[in-house]
Amino acid sequence: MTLLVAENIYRSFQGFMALAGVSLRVEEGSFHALVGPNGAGKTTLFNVITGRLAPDRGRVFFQGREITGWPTPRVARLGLAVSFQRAQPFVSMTLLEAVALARVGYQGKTFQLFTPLRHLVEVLEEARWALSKVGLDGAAQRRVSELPLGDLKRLDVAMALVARPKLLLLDEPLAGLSRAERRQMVEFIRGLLRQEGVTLLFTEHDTEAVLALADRITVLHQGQVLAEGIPEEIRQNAEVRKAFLGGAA
Amino acid sequence: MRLALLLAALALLGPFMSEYGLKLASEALILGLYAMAFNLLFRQAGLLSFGQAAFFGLGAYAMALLTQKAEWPFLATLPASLLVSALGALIIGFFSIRLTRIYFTMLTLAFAQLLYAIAHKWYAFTGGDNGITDLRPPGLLGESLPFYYLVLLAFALAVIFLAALEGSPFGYALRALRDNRARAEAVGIDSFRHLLLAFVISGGLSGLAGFLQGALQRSVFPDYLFWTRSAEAILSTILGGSGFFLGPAVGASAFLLLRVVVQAKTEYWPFFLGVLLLLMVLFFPRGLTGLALGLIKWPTEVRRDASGG
Amino acid sequence: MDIGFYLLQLLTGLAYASTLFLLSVGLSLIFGAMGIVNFAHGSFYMLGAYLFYAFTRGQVEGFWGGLLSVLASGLVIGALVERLLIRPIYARPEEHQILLTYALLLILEDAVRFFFGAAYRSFPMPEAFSSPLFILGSPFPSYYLFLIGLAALFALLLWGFLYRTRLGVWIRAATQDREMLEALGVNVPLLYTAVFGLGIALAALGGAALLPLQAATPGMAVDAVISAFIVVVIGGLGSVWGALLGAVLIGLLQAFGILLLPEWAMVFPFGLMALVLLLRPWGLLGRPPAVRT
Repeated sequence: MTLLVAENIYRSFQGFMALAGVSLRVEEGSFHALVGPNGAGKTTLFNVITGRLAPDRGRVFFQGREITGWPTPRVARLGLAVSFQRAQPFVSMTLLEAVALARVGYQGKTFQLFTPLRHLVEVLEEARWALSKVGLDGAAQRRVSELPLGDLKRLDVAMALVARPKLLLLDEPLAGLSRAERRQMVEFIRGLLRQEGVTLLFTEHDTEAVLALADRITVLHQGQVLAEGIPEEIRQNAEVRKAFLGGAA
Repeated sequence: MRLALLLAALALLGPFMSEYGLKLASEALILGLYAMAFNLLFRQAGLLSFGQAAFFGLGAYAMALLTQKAEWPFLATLPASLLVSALGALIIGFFSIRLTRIYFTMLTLAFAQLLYAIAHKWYAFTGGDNGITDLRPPGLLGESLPFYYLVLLAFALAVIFLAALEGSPFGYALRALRDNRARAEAVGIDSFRHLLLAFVISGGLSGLAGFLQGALQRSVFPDYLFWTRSAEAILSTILGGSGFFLGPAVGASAFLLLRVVVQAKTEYWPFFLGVLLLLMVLFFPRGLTGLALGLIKWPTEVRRDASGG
Repeated sequence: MDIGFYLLQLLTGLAYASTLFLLSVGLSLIFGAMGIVNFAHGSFYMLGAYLFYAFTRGQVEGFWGGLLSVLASGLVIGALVERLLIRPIYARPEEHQILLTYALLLILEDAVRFFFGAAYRSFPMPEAFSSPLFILGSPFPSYYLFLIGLAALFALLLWGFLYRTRLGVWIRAATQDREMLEALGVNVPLLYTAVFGLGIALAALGGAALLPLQAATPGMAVDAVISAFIVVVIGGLGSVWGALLGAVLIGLLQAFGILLLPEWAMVFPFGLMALVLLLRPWGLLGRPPAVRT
């Protein structure tokens, strides 16, 4: 079934039209890539979906339910987890604490004032599970502030994973990573998420990675959908080629 | 555990203190409570409130007005004080928390001054500048030692509560909001509601402090709501070190001692306060506690270097 | 209906708005360009009034000279304060910056009390303004018109400065994108010193200009900074025109509010601010944040 529908989204910033009638459908179980040159509107679309921005026009549906304009926390608690491009999670905590807190957040149970977090056994187990999936369980007791950048990204993914999300949004998961780290991340995403049955919507500049991971690709250009289809179709699309030749990656 | 020892020690010292000592100790505990309420917002939530006096004063006035005008028994006014100050925090917080932290700080100052102006002007209700006097709690609590134990009990309960809060999911949520608001929201934490609750809790505890102070001083004046009263919580916290759980309480004791000493020599206490705050911010942002911990660590570091390790 | 009466109220409101504008525009600029909320802003307003008194020794002949001296002193004092106290803490978290200006507020409050005593300090009305102006047959305090003219003059000068001079253009750019300015090689610390000095100078002038109408007291600093803040919240933090609009709205609200509910007139500005915060939290002429956070 269609997990996410973005219908005719318009969004402008002080006269600059970032999104001009963008529509997107993400099918359950698929890995859907959102690509396009810088400024094409990818991050804006992400922000509209996750509730960081309200669209000027258009609607967003998640599992058939309209979530247009919903604030981010509410969207998150529905099972739509997001990992940011610049991963800067909670520096005052240990890895385990950060992921555990994320779990409690997604469950909407953060208004507990008297129970120590460290006594919430189920939450901690889930947190350890998520950390082990991204290979960080050995560092569970370390402070987030001590982590190198590559690990920060993995932590961020763990924080999204611990929600057992229906839909995971990854904004530029490979940004800032070395070549080797990129390959690792692609393998990781492919292996892990397939295993867990997570639907993935991600933005990315790295064409190689996109073609390796995606079942479906939507190409954005100057705030509009240029093309959409399976990787083969996109690779052969002339207009897409033109847009990409002009863009980054 | 160290906390329990400290509280026990304070309790045991009680009978050995003089009248004056008991009053001073009570005031230090009250100010410590007030400062820790401030620091809940500052350290955990990352919110700098310049208007805690609003809730301190609301708590005090609730107690004063109910005991004097409605002739309520003293202890019965305690829940009322908590309620009134928490409600005040709910209303003020509702408007102040909406935007960035800078707006928040300024708004809290503005609202507190507004309350001060109202208390000052509303002569019929609050007695204006004359305040409400003759507020001696009846019976046993009118004596210094029992009152000291009441204050100590309130302080202990509040501190235990705050400690529990810190390790709770709520405490973590606040710190997450402080560290990275967008990321916290993305994991389902509603910033407005969490911050508002923190503000209400802080307001309630400030009101408790005001309640106790009014009883200690036997009178309540509009200056309980004046902006310099907010400064006391801030100064105590900065002096003691906001980064440490009991820092504000430590700072409060130091602050009181300083005030006693300085006010004996000069009337320009706010000037001195300002210079002190200036120096602390410029040179000692970690406060006295940070300074002390730094000094304690220093000899061990030197020793380590000397042994080549 | 007595038009003259309403016209008088209008003029009163605008005169009050004029001093509010001079007070608030600096706060807005300093925040917009530097990202610092100057809690001591009202203190410099107060200092302006006291310095004016000190320079003129309360003698009315020194009126014009006094105003100019206060303006100049404000520039110097503002620049010094920025250079010595604010610059060391550029990189610190904003709480430290706020606490620093708060410390200044405490210091200046008592400093003024120390040098001038707690008594009210007032200044006689200059000859030129002592006789009322007659409009439509009704008398109006001509000093009100002077204040309005003063504010209008400085609004114009400010506009010219911000839109026609290089320094002014940079200041405006700083309110929009500070990092880019550094990347362009602009001497940002110097820019900050200039902005701070300018903001303080205008506030000081506002305080001084008010003196013939209203005595100075050490307690006026906190009320002033709160009023300035209300104006800037309504108009939009960082917007000069917002400061003008906010000042006019508050001035008129006060003038006419006093007619309706004299005892509670002080609550009205808060009411308007609360309304703006609910409906348009970035101010009437401010810029909404790009992303909802």
